[in-house]
Amino acid sequence: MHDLVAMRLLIFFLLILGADGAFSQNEPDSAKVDTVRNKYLPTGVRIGTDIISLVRTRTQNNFHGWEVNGEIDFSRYSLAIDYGTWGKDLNSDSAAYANTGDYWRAGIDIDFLNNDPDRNVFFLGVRYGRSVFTESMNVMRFDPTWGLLSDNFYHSNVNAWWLELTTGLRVKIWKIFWVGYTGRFKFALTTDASEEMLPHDIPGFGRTNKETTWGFNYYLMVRIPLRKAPAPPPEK
Amino acid sequence: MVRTSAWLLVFLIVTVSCLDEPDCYHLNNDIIGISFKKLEDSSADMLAITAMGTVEPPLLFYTDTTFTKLFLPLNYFQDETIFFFETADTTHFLRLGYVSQAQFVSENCGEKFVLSTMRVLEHSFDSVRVLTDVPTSEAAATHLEIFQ
Repeated sequence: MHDLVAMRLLIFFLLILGADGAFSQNEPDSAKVDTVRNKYLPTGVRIGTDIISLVRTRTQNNFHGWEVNGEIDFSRYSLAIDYGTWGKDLNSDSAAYANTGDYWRAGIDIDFLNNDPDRNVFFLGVRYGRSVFTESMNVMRFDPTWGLLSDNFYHSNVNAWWLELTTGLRVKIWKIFWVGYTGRFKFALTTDASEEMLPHDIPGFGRTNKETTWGFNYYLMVRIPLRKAPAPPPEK
Repeated sequence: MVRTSAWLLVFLIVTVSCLDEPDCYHLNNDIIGISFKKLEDSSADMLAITAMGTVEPPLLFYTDTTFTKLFLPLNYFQDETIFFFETADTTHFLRLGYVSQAQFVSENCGEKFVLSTMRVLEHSFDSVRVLTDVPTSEAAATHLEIFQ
């Protein structure tokens, strides 16, 4: 069921990609103006950091983390790579949970504001995410049947993989400075959980209590132009 | 148009992410249902016991009663639970093994234990059949049939 939903979402995204390509072929002049070489040479690199992670680290006692983000802009398409780390310390009446680990994501975005003069971006994309983390939990609880129970669980080098459908904006605010957000629909999570403990929170993915989850990043970025972007197709 | 759509999307994502709190009610799936059957025709059988409980820790669940079906908790802090059924003639044992995995749920709910792969390790009845190997969080399903 889980894999079926993931497969349908991927097919949906591939259909969008296909439709995008089909529409491009209907623009007779664009093929003459934009050569393949021009289209697929990078026009710029955006490098940024996630503001939400930094704010949460400063304001929440139970969270620490940061994320950096890089995007290579191939005119209409972008190659996106994220790298980050996060850790949480959570306490309930009967358990103390902690995790920490690193993650990365890589994927491709398609820009739907292709001819914007400021090169602002509204995109849809896909990501593959990977995380390696450590988690521990100390439990002390009173069960009406079994009495007082206590145990310590520790699980290191846990691996997790998942997929994301992403959307967002990148907006130029001044010279090389940009802001932007990415909304993430995360699904198809796989982990190598141990016999004793199931993951609660995976760095880069989030809580595991549902098969799918949402994520949101707000980035402050700088864009380094590498070459002049190809001219947009002439308007009729 | 694009700007309006983008803001609507942000609002939708934030709203959905706020509806993420799990339900804290009976999180452990540590309950199994046991039916007693007659070996010759698989019809319901009544077991009269003088005492029934667990061996380790030594707990007494029932005394001087009869049942054709009962629901029992598994010790989720162990990977096996041994039940004894003391009748007027003899004492039967049922040793069940399973995988118990701890998982933190939330700061409000605490932790839960997820039990799976239940199997019969040892027993002194005539025959025991596992119908389903995943215990449930409520006393509802039948997991084992004991034939005698």
